[in-house]
Amino acid sequence: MCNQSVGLIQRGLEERGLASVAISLAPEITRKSRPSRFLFVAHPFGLTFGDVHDDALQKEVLLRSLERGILSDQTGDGLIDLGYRWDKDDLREMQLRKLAK
Amino acid sequence: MLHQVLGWVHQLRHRIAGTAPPEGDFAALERDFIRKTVCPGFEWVERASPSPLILPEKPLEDCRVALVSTAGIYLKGQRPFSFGLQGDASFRVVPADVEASELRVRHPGYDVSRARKNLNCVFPWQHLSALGRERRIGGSARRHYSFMGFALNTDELEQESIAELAQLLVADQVDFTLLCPA
Repeated sequence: MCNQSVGLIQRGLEERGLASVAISLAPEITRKSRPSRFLFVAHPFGLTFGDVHDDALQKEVLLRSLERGILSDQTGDGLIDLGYRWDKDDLREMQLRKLAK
Repeated sequence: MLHQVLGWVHQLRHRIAGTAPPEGDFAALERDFIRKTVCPGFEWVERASPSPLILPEKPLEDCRVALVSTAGIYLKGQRPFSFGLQGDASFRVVPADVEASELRVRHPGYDVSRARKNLNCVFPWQHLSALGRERRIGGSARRHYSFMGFALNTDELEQESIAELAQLLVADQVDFTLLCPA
């Protein structure tokens, strides 16, 4: 449900005039709440920014999210794909099938 | 392990009934899982129109940035998030200079063992501070915030918690907020 909650929080902040952007690990859920735009990162749940102690990737995803999040260009439904994919193992794939937590 | 078994049972029931969600339709799979395990009437919140696009009025190098996590983070000594049937729509304040040893994480929706080893996986507050020191951003806000994303009471979330959160962000003169799911 995190991916619904971040969309709703972003909506609430934007409606109050506060600049914000959400990362989403599950765009099909986040887009339902229609935040102005959101950043898609295809990482496993629980590893949003990168693997345990992968400081370089965590920091890169953070900076890229901020750099991209302050720009106004976006696609029609608000999804901005940051291009991160998880090829280290099948954790994300298993999570998306509800076969791993 | 229980979660995994429930997932297998859930999938098997769909296949036997011939109602398997389309491959990759995680929203439907997760919705059905929530209905089966905690809330039979659960539906995702849907809004008809997008919220207004609000952008910072200054470059990132000048922006004060706050993180709002939904990973279920709280400080040692704070009230942990509730795992009741409605979840928990409240949030916790996390000082930007807090040590990792002072932070706790509790969430029913993902495996928190990885976050407990290294919280920057889901809440990169230390990297944000580093970006401030490196002048890549104007600086880290003095406070960050965490919800626990399992919040079925979205009225409370939207009408109470977000209003309170917005006041804190304004008080801290935050220019830009990054929302971080787990």
